[in-house]
Amino acid sequence: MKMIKLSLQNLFFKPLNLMLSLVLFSLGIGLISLLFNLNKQITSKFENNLAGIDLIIGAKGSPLQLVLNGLYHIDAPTGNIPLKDVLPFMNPKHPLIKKAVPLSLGDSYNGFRVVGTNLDFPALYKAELSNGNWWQMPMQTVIGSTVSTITKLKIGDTFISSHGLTTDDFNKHDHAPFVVVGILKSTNTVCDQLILTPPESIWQVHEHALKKDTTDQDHDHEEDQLTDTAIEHDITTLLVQFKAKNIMTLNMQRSINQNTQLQAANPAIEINRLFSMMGIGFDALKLLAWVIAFVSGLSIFISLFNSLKERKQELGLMRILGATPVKLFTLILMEGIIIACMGYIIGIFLSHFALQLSAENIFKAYKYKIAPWSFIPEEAWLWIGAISIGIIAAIIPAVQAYRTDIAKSIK
Amino acid sequence: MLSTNQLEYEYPGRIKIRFPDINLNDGQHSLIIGKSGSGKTTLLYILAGLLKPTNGVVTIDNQDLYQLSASKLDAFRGSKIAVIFQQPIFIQAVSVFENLSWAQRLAGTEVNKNRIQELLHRLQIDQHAHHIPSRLSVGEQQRASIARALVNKPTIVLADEPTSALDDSNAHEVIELLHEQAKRENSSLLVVTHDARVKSLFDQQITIGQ
Repeated sequence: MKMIKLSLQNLFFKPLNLMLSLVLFSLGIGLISLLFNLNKQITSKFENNLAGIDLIIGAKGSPLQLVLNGLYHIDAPTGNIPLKDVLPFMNPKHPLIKKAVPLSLGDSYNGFRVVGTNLDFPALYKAELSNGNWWQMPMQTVIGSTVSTITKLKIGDTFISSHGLTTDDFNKHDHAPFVVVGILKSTNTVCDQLILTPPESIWQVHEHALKKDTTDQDHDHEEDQLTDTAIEHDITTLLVQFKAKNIMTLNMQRSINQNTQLQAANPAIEINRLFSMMGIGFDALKLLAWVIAFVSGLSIFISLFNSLKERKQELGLMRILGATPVKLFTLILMEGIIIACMGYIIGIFLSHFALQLSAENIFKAYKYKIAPWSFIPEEAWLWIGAISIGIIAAIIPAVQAYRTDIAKSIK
Repeated sequence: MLSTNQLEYEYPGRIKIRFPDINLNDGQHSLIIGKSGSGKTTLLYILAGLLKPTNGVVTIDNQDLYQLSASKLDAFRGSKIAVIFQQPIFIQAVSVFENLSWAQRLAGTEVNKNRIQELLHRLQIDQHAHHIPSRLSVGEQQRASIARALVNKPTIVLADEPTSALDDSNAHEVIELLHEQAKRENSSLLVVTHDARVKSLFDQQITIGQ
């Protein structure tokens, strides 16, 4: 214990050396930890939100965009598709399809998307009501848990949506307001950040706006039935779960893409493609972080090695006072380990602090919540890595201390 | 009690140095004089258990030094032998007080704060107890190293040219201090020097390298 204190006192005796080693070391550790955390949080966000969807059908365009918009609600829609085109997929007797959930997008409230859909959608995310009831008629909404905490909307509250998917759009609709009838429990999925409503609400809002100029008729959209009279309506995407994945489902995807005006994309494949594209950047950053970690190891080595030269007499003195070579070895090794421990703690703190800062930005941009102060197992491995770097950097100076030739050192 | 018998040391490729036998009773003070290059410092290292002689025996308190295992010799040196250097050497990062407590700890004895306080007081550096050594003047540093040398009540205090860097009055003062403090602890004192100024201050003198 006293030995550790002496190691500490020795380190703090050269504060600039200590600071340089710590800055480099904590930067390396912090960057690696930040990358681990971001990678983990983003990957798990994306994977949680797959929700067992095998295929997304929407308008032609970028398949990645279709997936990002339809499943993750972070990109603009590729466009709308006529409901009648996808009605066959929604037939419960379809031989391949287990479930098909239509989504109508285009409106938002305070940056939270209003999604026109049916009750199959919350079921995909196993979302349950924490308060209130499911909707009974158009213009009624059930809101996700994040929406309710951020907007403070309560059961019975009303709001006007704006056209477009971001808060930048000041196109407020002048229609009857939406009313909140239910609030969902948190699911840690994208469902938390959505405002769910029957598709008729979206049609009502949009077609009302469209037809207002021409004929000021009253529409009784409340009576619309998805599979019956509403076939002239549009939807944005259709989320499809297959009964089983096989060659026929693959053929179905190909056939949709080749023979129709629709596009079908496999979300798992698109997300893997996205990850592999991001992965290049991640790998480059990871390499940089390891280079920093290596350089910081080198700086620990050099600073211990230099201080050893200055402290040769001192080490000789300690031997004369009765210290065994093993004690001196431990003393120097401890200094390396202490720098590594302190650097690790500072680095981990920095990385989570950076996560906290970026969490706010990520939330502002995508309404995605990440947990900045949750720790991952990789950080325990990183600790072992950090201590190893400390030990490796200190081992040569420590062996030198062990070998201190007293007679020569005190001259 | 310290005694040597037919000590010889041979640096590789150089002439063999023979040292006269030394017998020093408890509390006895002696001077070893010799020109530079005569092997004074070599003898001091041999006596301190730092350098194994080519031939011969060093006995301190009836213990043949070089029969001890390396770790036992470290502990023995820590508790029985004290060394004072020409330039004071300290553990730089810790206070004067802690330097003395480390001297006790490394020798394997309990830290005795009263003992440390008493010594610092006796050598008139108690006001610097909690300063790091580099803040002390050279004279104060030499006094602090005398305090550290005596903290474990050693059998023998070996001093290597303790006065060569000091002016006449300081040289006198340091030797007087060594005499006086060693006497109080009943430690033997062996001063190695080529400094003619301190000859008159010792009754017993051993000359080497003749």
